Amino acid sequence: AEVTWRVPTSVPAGSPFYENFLERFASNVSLLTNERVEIQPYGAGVIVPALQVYEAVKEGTVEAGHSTPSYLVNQDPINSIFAGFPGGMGPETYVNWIYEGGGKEALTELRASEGLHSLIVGIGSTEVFAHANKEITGPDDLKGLKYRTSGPWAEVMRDYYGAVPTVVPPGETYTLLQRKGVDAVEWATPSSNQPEGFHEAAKYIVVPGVHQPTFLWEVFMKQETWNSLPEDLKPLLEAAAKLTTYEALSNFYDNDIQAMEEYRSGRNEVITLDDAFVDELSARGQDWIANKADEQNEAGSSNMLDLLEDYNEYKERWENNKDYLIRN
Amino acid sequence: MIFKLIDKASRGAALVSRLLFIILIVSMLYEVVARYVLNASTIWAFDISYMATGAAFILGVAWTLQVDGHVKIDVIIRLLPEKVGAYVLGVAYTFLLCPVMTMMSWHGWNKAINAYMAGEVETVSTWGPLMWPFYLILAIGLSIFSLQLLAEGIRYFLEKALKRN
Amino acid sequence: MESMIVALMFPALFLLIFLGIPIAFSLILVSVAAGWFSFGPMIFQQLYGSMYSASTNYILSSIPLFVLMGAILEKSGIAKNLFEAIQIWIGRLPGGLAVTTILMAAIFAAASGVVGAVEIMIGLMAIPAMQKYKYNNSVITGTICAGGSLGTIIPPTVIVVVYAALAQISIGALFAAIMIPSGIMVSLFVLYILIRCILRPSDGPAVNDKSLPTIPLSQKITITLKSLLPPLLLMFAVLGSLLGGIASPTEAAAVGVGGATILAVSNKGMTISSLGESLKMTVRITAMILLIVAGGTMFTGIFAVNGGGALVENIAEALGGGSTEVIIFFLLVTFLLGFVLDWTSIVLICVPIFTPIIKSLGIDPIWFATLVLVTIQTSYLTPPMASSIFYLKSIAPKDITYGQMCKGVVPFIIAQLITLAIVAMFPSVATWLPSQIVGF
Ligand code: NA
Ligand code: NA
Repeated sequence: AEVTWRVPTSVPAGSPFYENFLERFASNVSLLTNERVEIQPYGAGVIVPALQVYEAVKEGTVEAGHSTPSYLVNQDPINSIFAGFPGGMGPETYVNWIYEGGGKEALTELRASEGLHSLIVGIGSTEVFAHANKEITGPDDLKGLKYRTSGPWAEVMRDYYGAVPTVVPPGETYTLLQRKGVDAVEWATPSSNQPEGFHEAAKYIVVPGVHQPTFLWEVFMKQETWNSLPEDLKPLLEAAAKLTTYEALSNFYDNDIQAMEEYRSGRNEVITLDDAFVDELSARGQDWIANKADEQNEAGSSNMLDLLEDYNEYKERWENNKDYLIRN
Repeated sequence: MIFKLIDKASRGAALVSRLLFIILIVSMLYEVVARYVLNASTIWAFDISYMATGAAFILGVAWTLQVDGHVKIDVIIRLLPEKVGAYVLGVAYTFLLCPVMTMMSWHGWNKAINAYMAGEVETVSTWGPLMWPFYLILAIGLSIFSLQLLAEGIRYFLEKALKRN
Repeated sequence: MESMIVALMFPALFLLIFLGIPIAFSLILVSVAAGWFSFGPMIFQQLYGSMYSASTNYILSSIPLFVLMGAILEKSGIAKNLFEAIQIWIGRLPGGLAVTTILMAAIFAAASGVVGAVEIMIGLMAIPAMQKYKYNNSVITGTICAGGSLGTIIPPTVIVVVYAALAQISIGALFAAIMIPSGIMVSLFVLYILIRCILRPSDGPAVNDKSLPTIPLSQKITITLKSLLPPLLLMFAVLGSLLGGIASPTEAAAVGVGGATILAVSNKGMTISSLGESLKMTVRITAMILLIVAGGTMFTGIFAVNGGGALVENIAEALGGGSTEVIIFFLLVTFLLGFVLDWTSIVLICVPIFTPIIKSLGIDPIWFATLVLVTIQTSYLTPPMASSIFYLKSIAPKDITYGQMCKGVVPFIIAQLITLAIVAMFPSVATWLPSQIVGF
């Protein structure tokens, strides 16, 4: 190949995110560029630390990396808009905001300010609210609930509902849930949770995942790495990325439906939260991100506030007009 | 003289490691009590636990080298004259490992400085502590380790020289 | 070119290790040399990443704590009293202390799931006791290493969790699958110890009848209550908090250290200086183990970047699609990697390579996983490069030699190979239980 990139990611090789996003991207790139570009995927922790993929690319250890803006929220909260946040857009709306509503351009601009070029490689479906040992149907059930979660959701759960967000190291999640050391865990989408086995450890499966309506992963490289590509390859890589995103999203939907079917037909009990409760939870999430944006604004950076306004405006337009859509 | 100083630095770092283990124990116990008695998990116990362990590890490697605590299999090399084994370690420590670890320390210092300048915070934790103190400890530990490698390496040569005299 | 480098990484590593260069340093040196070809001068920051990974791995936090707990119990005399009390009851049984040690290791393995930590803790406590009762050094070392290796196979274990997630198979089913094999293994261990010590009583001497009957029953009970009860309570605190889901392994280990300290102080066996000594030992052992983990992470990364995975895949393909050949080849690769790498690295390297091929051949993934897990455990024990022996070496008294360690583990390796053969020949040993077990 003319160009070979080693691309480490933050998820283990073989996991759904790895296969569905990164390996799919590698094969699409190979297909569209006629094997002129080779993407070599590496699972989490094999060549760079799992959570340091952005740093490794910036430092030049590897040519490109695959990770999610979720891991940058602590550095700069504006990333939470791209990472997906409680009460944010669902995948259907989001993918359209990204490609048609200016989301992609906003992300490109943000990464450019860090000296990176970003290709969106993967938008996900909705996560599972919780695999739980206890029934969760309303606010009262959250009080004192030992809940493995993190980020904004942890803050919302603690501050508004008196839950006990608990940090559990990845390898321990199954065991702790099974031993009832935690009451509930949230992890990923229905199909990506299946291999983790949570449905075997806990009876209740609570949906929908208000806390993470969708999420985004990206492949990124230094701006100069991107610039040095032959001009004719750039649009091909962009196209491979976009193709990957759409294929992966369809694939997620389909696998998730299958997973939900299996959960329902097995020994699990699926609890669907009622609309009023979902709306309430969403509103709390919106509060959280609005507060973050205000904090940023007061600290002198209006970027997040402006972007959130664009984002919410698009979301509202979608909601106001989606009644024409048949969604079965 | 300078070797004595390096030894002292390693011992000092290992003393800090011991202290970090005590911090690790206390924070873990506090976390269990907080979760089950006070029903409020801490947001820092997770970060403290891995950072304390990692820092104690890196600060402990140099002293562990000093007391010859890094496991090796020397049954085969011992079949050869003693000075051969000493020379092998002398060469490996002085000319290979010391430069390698020095380069890693160099990168470690860069990480620490960059993290300080950028105000880098922990990626996934709710607590989100600043990362530079942890990077700084790693850089210090690796640097002391590099120095100790140099000291031990040269000592292997010197002992050899002493014996010859 | 690159596959040449991959192929050379192993002989180079063996050479450095046999030259007497510490294991961790050998891993680092080979990684730098082989990594230079793919990273150039960037290799140093790439390898720094492995140091960082080892320094930030939460699961490793329980290692220093288990070590410290063992050290405190040993230095305060509590472990000595405990084994003496056990000896009062089972002293007439040849090899009784070794059997006790294996069972203790199995119990802790069943709770903690962290490899290495349990071996050192049990070793610190049991070695002096077995030495006091004149056990043969090879019996002592074999027992400690084999007991320590159980952490890989007795569920729950972190290895299984990581393996299952990478291979996309059910964690619960895999836990169930390894239960019977690990039971077989523990039974074989115990059986071997008993047979050996009965045939050669000097290897694990029973206390002679002259000294035992002089203790009246009431005194026996008093001694037992005094020596056995406190450590038993401690074990219940640690195991209970783990099994009850109250604490993660790290937290439970901290509970153990806290409890051990209280016991030691009330036993008047604890002084500031003995606490200092225990902490000192903890620093040394932690630095030693984590540096090997860091070196292993480096080696893994460079192996992967230089196309080690592709090499293994190509060989598997060249075998022409026979299931048996592929399984044997994969187990050999696992075993070979297990010579030098810790389980995290083996699982990270191997599972993504093995899984698609195993699937395409229609081999039962649960059964195959069980075979791999038993193999990993075996390589953990197998000299010359055996993690179990490295760990033991860091705590063993000077009079126990490396040769005795290697000799000691051999019968246990045979026991493991028998287990492997049983699982290979009768897949239902692994696959029957998962089909029976109900999760919640
Ligand atoms: Na276990
Ligand atoms: Na081995």
